[in-house]
Amino acid sequence: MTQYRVIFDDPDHLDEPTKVLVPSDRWMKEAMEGNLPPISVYWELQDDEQKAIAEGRHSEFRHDPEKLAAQYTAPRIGPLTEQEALEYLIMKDLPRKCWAEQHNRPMFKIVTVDQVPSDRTFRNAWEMAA
Amino acid sequence: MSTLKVNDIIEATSGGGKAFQCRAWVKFTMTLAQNGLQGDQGVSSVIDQAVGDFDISLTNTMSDANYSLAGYTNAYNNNTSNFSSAMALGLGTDYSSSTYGQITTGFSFCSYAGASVDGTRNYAQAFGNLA
Repeated sequence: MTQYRVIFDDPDHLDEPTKVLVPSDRWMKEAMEGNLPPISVYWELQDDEQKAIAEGRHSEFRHDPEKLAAQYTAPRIGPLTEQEALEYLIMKDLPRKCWAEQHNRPMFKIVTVDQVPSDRTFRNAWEMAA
Repeated sequence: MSTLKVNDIIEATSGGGKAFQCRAWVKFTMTLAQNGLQGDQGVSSVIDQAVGDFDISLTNTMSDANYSLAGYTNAYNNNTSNFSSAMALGLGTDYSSSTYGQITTGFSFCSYAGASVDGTRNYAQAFGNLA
């Protein structure tokens, strides 16, 4: 099991509690074995859908079949280290603004499991430490 | 009899197949940040957003956002011997202001009982078209 988590804030919702991304161990194994397509495959699909949402046509939106099939047909990028797999996952599953734009403070951090509080009593008050 | 082994099956023609498979499933507890996901397939990550509020990211993007979701969650009353029965489960609905909803790359998972509440047992499945 990976001992890493990604804590992040969404720049568009800074008043919300800090979020914690928990990777799937099965996905991490696939990533480290080299079974992923280029990250650009997912970016294209995300961009197409966000455009449809912005234009108010999400309910009838369908992905381009060729772009969708690229998830399976594009050449695999090869084995990744655990850190590389986490970076790939950040670029795939975190909001784009979190990691692709500059802010006046870090919007995400890769931490270890023991750095995340186990007591959820005040879960909605969690904030990233400076 | 020979054995057919495959890692994935997708329809040759979108909507033309007769085999309907679960595209993703996941089981997790509210302490997933410490313990990881208890079981999953077709899921790349789960994001702990807040109390009773999670986003589930799919490994593979669905062809559209009209896939079907199923799931279950129970409530936890800060007492390990006192579990409630199933709570209101919002799949694809986000009770917080950070709307994730249901998109082709994932969906929201929220347990709610007048206010968001953590569940010790959280299950979700997604059925739909990958191609």
